[in-house]
Amino acid sequence: MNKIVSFIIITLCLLASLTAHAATTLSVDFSLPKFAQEDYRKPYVAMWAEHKGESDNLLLWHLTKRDTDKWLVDIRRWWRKEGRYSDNKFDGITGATKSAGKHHVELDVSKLSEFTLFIEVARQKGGRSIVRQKINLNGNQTQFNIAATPELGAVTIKVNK
Amino acid sequence: MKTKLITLISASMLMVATQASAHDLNMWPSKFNIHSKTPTVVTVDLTFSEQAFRLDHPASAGGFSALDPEGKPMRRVGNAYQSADRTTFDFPISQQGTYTLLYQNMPRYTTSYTAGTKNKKKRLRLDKIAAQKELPNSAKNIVTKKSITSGIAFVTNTLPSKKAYQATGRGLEITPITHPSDYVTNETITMLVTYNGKPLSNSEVSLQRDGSQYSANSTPSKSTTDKNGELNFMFKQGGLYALSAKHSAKEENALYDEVGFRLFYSFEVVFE
Repeated sequence: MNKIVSFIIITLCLLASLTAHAATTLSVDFSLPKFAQEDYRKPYVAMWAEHKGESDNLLLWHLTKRDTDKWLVDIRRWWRKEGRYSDNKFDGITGATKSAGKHHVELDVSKLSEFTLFIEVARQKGGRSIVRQKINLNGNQTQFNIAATPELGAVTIKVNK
Repeated sequence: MKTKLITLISASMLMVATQASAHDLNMWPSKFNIHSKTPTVVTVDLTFSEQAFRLDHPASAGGFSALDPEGKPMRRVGNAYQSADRTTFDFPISQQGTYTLLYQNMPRYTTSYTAGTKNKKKRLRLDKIAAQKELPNSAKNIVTKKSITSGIAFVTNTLPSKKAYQATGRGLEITPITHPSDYVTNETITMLVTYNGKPLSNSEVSLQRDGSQYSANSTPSKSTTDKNGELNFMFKQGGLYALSAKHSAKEENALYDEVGFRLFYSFEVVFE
């Protein structure tokens, strides 16, 4: 009996390590700039991948307190490509808005090979920035840098295979 | 005296009505794209004006109708308030999808003719049958025109859908090819212009962006439909746009000889 259990556990561990090994991720380091503004609100941030007319939701930081967040339409391209089709089901990728400063996120891109990564930041009573980076996971390049924009600091993307 | 005053008042009211008929229709929903899971409201302004984006005369509330995302005519389009220069609806939205907002006035008839030794051009606001009694014996070049003014706009709640904007095949119509909730800067926006269901090629339309009325040149820009009746735009600037199309055709009928359509399409281009 014990043997069977340990066999199952070992098999599961092996499977888990296999899948963990197979996961391709992007390490994204970026910062959200500080704004000296009395009515400053933390920005909405969305990251997603677009490939051949399809798109994959990778990250969403927004106001999670309500059932329906009517301001999601203001992350304009994300809303048009991804948000409106998701039926409010952003499980696993959603988080509350974050403060200004440095941030690090890991994005699971195992299902993807060649795509454009989009990062869109929209802030209440503030601006909106959108950046894009073409990424080929089968290519040689494993690090990408995106210059700072008004609402988003410089971005560094590393491919982990 | 009293009768005179009443006649004067009714005459001035008539003038307002006829003035409005030659004006452009502006139909502006307060939002074109929304995200709401619970029933909500989008206000819609309707005004006739000399120039786009200038409120002038309220449109009659009876001309407003709408199709829900399933393409069904809506029984309740919301309460209307008519102010001095606009009519406002609290347009109800309870479903996900694209709603079509429609405005159509009552058809107006104009019989024009020339009369007298100087062949002066004159007009009667009457159809062919009614005009018979009023026309002088010397009337020549008599033509009766039926005029229809209509407007369209689309409001999308969350999911874009297409059922509410299928062409009916009647009169002058604009059917989106690019979905109106996908109108963004620097991407091609295509729409189809048809007359009685057939593509209307080489037809001129005019277009104006909100804000242009404050610029040096506030005249609308012109575009022409291609051989397939399609219009293709690519906008550098986001904003509200007013497009107008016109078409006239001979159509023998007991009431008129010619029919003229004016169609106004208001849409939003999102800066992306």
